[in-house]
Amino acid sequence: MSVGNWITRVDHKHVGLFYILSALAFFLVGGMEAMALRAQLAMPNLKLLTPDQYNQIFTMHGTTMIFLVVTPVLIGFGIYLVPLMIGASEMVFPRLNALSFWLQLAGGLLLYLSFATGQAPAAGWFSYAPLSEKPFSPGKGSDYWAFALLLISAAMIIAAINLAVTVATARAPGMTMRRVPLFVWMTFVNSLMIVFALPVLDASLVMLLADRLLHARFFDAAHGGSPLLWQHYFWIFGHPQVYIMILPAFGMISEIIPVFSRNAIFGYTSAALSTVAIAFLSYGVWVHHMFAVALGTTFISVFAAASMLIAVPTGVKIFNWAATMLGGSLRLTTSMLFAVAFLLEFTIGGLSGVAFATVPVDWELTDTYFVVAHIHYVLFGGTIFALFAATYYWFPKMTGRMLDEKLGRLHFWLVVIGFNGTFFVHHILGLLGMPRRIYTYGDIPWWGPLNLISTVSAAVLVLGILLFCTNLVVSLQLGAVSGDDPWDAWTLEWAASSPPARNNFAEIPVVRSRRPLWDLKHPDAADWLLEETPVQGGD
Amino acid sequence: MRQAVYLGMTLFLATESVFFFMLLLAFVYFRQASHGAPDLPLHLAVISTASVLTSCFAMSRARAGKTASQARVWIGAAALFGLIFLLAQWRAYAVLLRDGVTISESLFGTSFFTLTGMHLMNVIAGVLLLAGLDRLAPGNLTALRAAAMFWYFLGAVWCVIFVVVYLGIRV
Repeated sequence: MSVGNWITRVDHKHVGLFYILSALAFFLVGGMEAMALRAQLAMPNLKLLTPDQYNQIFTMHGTTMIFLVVTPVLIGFGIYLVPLMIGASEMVFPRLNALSFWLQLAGGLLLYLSFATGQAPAAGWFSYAPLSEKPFSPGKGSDYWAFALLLISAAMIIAAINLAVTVATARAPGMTMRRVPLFVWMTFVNSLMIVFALPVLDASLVMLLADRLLHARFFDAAHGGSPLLWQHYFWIFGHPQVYIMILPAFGMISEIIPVFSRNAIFGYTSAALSTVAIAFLSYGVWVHHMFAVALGTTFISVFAAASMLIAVPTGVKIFNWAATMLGGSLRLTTSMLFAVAFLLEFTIGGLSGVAFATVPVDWELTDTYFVVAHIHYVLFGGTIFALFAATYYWFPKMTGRMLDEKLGRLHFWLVVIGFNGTFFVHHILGLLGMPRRIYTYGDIPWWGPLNLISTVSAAVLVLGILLFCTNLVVSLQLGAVSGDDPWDAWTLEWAASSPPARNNFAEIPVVRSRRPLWDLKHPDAADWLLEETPVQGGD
Repeated sequence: MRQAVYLGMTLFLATESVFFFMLLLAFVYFRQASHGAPDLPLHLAVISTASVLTSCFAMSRARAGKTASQARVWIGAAALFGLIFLLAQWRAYAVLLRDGVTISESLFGTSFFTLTGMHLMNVIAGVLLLAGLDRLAPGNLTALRAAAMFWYFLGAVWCVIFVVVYLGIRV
């Protein structure tokens, strides 16, 4: 097949895989950047990197992981799975779908092209003004950063609109919104969040670029501009963005845990509605990133309370999953192991999040390694663990072959040990007062050994991830043939062949309950019989 | 498919609304914070507003057009009045720049030019869209209606800018 043929494909399964594979590539790049940072921090007074290189690398690491890995890979899974799960043959706008991927990739390449100018962006992934303004970041790096993010946000908005419209209009007969899989629910809510949050980033980037390129004054305090405005705008986008990076992962876990617990999800409605609650609340909590700014006690108290409130709908979900496992009989596949570990790691990250919502605690710990621990427990321990679970779960559907379980278990334990070893000590370092974003540090009691533990564990984590990549490559060639439904699952994607044919389904499935495949396999005990009987009796 | 296109356009306009709202908010914030504002060429803004409203009216006639050739004429008229809007804006920018009001001169200029400039770019895209509509999607009523939604939206954004920026400044 020619290259032209290959890049002009619009099939949602190809576009979804493009998204996933490009995110995997950037994940390895971002991971190498992280290792460079950890190597520099391994011992006191090391000088492997210059301060300026260090700034560039942590900026690129953060930007890469957030905008080129976590966000797009979740969108990619959505693009691959949503049409299959709702019984559709394709996304509603296939060509826009392909466009979104190529814009995303162009944004990523543009970001990395900044290295060629000799100065990659170095103002952190949230590019606070005035540091990101021309006088303090004279290189071209921040311009590349802003333009790349504009491209990526355009890609995200296009993909989000496409996903939302597909869920709203392309569902199979009988697939009501009360019956769609929870992954579809969460991707749908996520898409609406993207539609309303990303334009705020776009407005901020336009203002930053006006300042940098046209000598406008938005964030220029010397001429009456307001650096604080950047913080407000960035976090009005940034906090919903945090949930944009976790909601689809919640959806994945909501698919995986029931299947490996042999038990329908406990509290489907509350799981769906709590997602909506999180989406609404996420727009009212941005100031908790700014407690260290003197904004007035009453003002920040409101945001502290709102931030704590988010723990309620999130807690609802944890109970949904825990109760599903409690009532079921568990099958501890690698996928399920990652899903269970997700629950534990994410809960630790959630708890440190609630701690941060307490203003005095935040004042004590803001800008220390405690923040680094928190963000990695929710993003790695949360989303990346869910993505590993999702990969072991859906790889057979995407390729027709199983991932190797022996390698999978080894991968799992290396990642669990490596991840916790790397980031748990960051809590302690933060409490000991180690600030984030310093490129080296003096010989302060405990800092050296704890950082060394972190760096050595990071190497274990890298080993685990390399093992995962090996598993992907080897299993693609040699893995056991999976058949269409290796997990005895219940949602519609498992009714298609593995990998699914061009139009997904030979005939449009008719749906009568939340578990259409269960109904097909157990006509005598079909869910819709149970669902409909009480209603008839009630009449 | 019709429903999908309208819903998709609605979501796109929701994104655009938030984008313009944030820029408008910055404008209002800096107007409060800065002392005084330059005289704006109100007569040009009135011409702009009149051409926007006329253009939107033409677009509504195009939607209601019975035949394809009728619709084509009204779309042409809508694009023409869009062009008049752009000329009036270009003139207004020239007047302001002559008076020394630039994007870097003051926070008023910064937020004014960013807000109206972003709207202007959208209108340019809109005029090009209207001009090319017949070629892109000949005789496609769904495409015409979606384009009209975008065009009305830009008209509405201009009306907000007119009220807040041009009239609000004199209150």
